[in-house]
Amino acid sequence: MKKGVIWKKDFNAWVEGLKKEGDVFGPKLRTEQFHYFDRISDPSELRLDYTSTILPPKKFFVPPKDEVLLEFNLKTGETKPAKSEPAREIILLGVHACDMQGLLRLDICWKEGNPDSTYLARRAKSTIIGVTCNPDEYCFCSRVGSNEHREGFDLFLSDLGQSWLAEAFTEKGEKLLGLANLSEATMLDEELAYKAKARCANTRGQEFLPKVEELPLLCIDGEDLAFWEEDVGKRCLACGTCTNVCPTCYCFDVTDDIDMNLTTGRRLRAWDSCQLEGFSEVAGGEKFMKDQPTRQKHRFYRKFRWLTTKYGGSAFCVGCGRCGRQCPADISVPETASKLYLGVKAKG
Amino acid sequence: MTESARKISDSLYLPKSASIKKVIQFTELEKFYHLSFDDGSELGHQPGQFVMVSLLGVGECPISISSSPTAKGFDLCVRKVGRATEKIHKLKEGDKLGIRGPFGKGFPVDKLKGKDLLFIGGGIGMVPLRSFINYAVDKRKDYGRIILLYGARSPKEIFNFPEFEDWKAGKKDVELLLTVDRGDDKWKGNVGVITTLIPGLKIDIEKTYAIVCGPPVMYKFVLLALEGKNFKEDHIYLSLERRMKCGVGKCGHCQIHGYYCCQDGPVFHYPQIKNIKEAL
Repeated sequence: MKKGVIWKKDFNAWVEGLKKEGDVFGPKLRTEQFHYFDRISDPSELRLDYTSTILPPKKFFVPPKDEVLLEFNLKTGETKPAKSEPAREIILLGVHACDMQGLLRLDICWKEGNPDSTYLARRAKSTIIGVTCNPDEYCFCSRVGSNEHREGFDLFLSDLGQSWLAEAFTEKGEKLLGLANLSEATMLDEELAYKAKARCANTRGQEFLPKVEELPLLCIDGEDLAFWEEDVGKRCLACGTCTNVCPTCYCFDVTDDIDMNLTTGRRLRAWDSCQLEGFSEVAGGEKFMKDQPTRQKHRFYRKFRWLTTKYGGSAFCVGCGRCGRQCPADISVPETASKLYLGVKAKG
Repeated sequence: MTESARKISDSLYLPKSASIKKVIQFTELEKFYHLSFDDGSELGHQPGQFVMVSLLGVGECPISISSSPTAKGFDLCVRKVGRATEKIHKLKEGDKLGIRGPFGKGFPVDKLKGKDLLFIGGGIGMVPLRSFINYAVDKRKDYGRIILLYGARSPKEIFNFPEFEDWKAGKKDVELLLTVDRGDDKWKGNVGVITTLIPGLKIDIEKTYAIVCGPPVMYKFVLLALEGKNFKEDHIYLSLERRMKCGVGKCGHCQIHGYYCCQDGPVFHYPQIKNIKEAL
């Protein structure tokens, strides 16, 4: 596949060219502290040296709220599925390896069993351009083995300082690369790209004691360690931030909305969170997840055991660190994993 | 088009229109509905499965199918307990509603052929059990004894299913044992919770399988009572209730550890969920 070097002075012109191929989204600065993925109208807004964004790229494929599943007319009783295919290609520029792994996990969940046409139509009409990253102390991608993958990317950019090494992995990627003023990659460029890749493996983060392969076995049915109740469960504020910002969380709620004319309306999908009190509540009032320790445990077990075993092995945590970075109670996956590990070991 | 291609192009969330053919007011809170699809098709369900009932502008709710697939059309029984079910209660014969499904794993009707069936239903838990009872009655030769323990809170809350008089009269070879938590002036039958019926049962535990559905609080007591009869754990099936928003294994609300109640349930084999604290 095609490969080459794009000089940084030529980069914005290339991005400008991409806009003709589709809607381009990439990391921009939101506040002093946070970046976010948004539409790129002016390539100079791009911040490809970002660490993480508030929300992962899942928001382009399942919007946080008001996603139309059905349109209906109350007078005629007519229902029709919403048009799910986007008008133009979704080009995501500047996606990190962890977030790409997150999307690949979501692809499995939305496709398996009963394929969700809305998600899959958007994914089919997307091009993902990856970029090497700059981890902070919350990142733990290397602990869950999601830092070095290039699978899923159409095109990948490695930061070489003065230039980008651009590698295409699909025909879509090759086509976009064809729009760039490309020079041939030298041995030195390859070496610099290798170093940039190595930087993605974070080493200064929080302690993460278990090996990721051990976690499904540590999440034991009926395990009743005190820290769920006394530590994590007590600190958790039940705000749902961790699941909203997670690249592999996809639980949702469905509600109906009627227009002012009281005739037309639509059935809408919105993100939901297992951390919210009413998540498991049925109409009769019974809550099957009764308290916050149970809900915290549910979230952790779902990531590291239930979905992992259901969908063939990979943890449903990609180490992006968003949940820990944004948790108001400072609860993080490395901390929980380590406490679980120590607790299970202590019990023998 | 291949099967998978067809599925991808269809919306998972598009309900199919059905008309209400008959309504029976069971109790103050529960109504029974007989429905059929407007396009003339059959639901094609297994006993124990459920559907998502859709009311445009209000929402959807999961409702157990109460009829056997051996009958034409299908029956639902709805308790007025939330926004969608309140709206359903306002519907009359001839009105339409949307149906998605059938969904989930029903009762193991084939595996239990030749066995004695012990149905244990508490309150609205009778509704899904009826789908299997009527199935077994229609295929009477395929099954051994059909024993039905039915507990209601009071005589007024007993559901008068269309075949209930037959069961009471001992017709159709159904052995019905009825109890109420609290009797009234006219009530001459058993008084006591459903578990009081279990110790006196004369059953062959090698041949008998229990099929249990009721309010969450009922399961543990029934399991204890069955244990007291030396009932085998792997002879017990339970139908569970959960919050559901999709019915197709996506929305996450019905997850019971590694299982999705909407896909792997609502009927579970007791050994599957025995060690799961949140299951019951």
